[in-house]
Amino acid sequence: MTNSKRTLHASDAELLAWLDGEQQESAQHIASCEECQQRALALRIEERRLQGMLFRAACPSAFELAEYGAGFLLGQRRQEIENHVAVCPLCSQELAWQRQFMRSLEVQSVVARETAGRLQEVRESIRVIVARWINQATGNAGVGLGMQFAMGAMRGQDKRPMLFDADELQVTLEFYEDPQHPGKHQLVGLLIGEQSPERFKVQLWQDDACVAETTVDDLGNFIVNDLPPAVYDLKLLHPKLEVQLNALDI
Amino acid sequence: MLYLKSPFSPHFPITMHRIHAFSMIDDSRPSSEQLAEECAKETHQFFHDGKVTTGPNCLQLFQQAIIHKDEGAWEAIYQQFGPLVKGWVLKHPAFSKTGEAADYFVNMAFMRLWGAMTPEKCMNFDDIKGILSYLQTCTHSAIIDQWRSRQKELLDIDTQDVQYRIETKRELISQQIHQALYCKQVLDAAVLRLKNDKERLVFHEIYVLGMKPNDIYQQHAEEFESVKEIYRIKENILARLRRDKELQQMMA
Repeated sequence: MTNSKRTLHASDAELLAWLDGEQQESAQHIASCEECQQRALALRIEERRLQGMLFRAACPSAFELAEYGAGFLLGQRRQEIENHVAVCPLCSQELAWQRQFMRSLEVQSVVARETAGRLQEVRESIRVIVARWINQATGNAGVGLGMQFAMGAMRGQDKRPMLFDADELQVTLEFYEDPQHPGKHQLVGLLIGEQSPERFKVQLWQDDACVAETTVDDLGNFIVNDLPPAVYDLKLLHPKLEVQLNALDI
Repeated sequence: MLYLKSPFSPHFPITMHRIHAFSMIDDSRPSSEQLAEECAKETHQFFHDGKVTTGPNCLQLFQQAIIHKDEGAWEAIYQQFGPLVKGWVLKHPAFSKTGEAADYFVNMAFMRLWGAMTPEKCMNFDDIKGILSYLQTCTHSAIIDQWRSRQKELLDIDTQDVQYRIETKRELISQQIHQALYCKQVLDAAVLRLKNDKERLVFHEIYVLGMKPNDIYQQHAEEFESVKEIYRIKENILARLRRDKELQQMMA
């Protein structure tokens, strides 16, 4: 066999791309080459075997995740699942469905009761939502490679907006150097999806102590100045709702 | 004897009488028929009259079924709350993605409740709202289980493994736990053989999350020169794992 013939066959990378339907130069050769097609088939079998074993291998079962979402899990397992959900978009999606599902059932109950002509107090306690960082996976805000391997706290050093989802609300956060306080930071936030955002107040917590507080204006904006570099928990507080954005690394 | 009718599988119908052939009936407790009647009134009051109630009779009906293994109580619960659960299923955002009938999930939700709600757990609920919330959780997880199976089908993955079969027996649950642990061990072993963050990212997003290289490139364009680089990384990973005898033995 001459060197030119030996180099005609597609590499494994090209075969994998061909299997995925990617357009490439070697596609025509692969389509007409029996040896390449057999190698492609072997690769496909190998992949299916790997994926069959590994797809969502790190995810909790649907039932355990549902128990977590409904607040029935406690202790260490609850924390383990919470840590996993923070980096798994598939589990996050299922939890979002669960919240949407439970909320639709609450609304159904409220409508039924109001239709009956009685006003009932549905919420007897404050609802707490832990917001989900939704653009974490797109490499924004200094995540680094891979959701699973992102370091613990969420980083804002590269100053791209961080987008959070809290059911029907969204929060955007940006961090800047505070021009009035050298060496300190300024947090600029925007709350979206609330008709009366001015009913919210903002608190920044560090080690179980509230270190800063401000209010949200009628357009949803809020600013906190003079923040030393640290890891904070942010809370958006409403008379009937608390939204938590945890482990913000400024 | 209670039959849970399902249009789906030859494994059904499941007969509830195999839970217990008899129950230790305390004569001082109301019968399941009486409780069912009172529970129906409470449910009607809640949904039609707007009266908020802890549902003591409904709660006792569930306790009768779960703690005292009363078949009649289980049947009454299924009759009373089956239509409610069906309504929940139809409202679920992932229901239409599963390709299954609503009645199938109604059966699955009650089976899951039957399997997961132990007498100890049941004693922790002091009103019917809590138990119904748990039943909603069972309903949701039944739908999500089917969705996960569907995801595997869409990815053209072999769906024969026991992990995604219906939980119909406690032995199967035990098998599922072992299978899940085994898969996690294989995953951990494979990850140890990866050389750098790029390989770990590609491996995780392709094999654990089911993404395509093109999607990975869209999300992490700043990390990779091109989609071709991702395919080269994938090629290297597969070649290295293929040569690793220890890992291949684990996966055999």
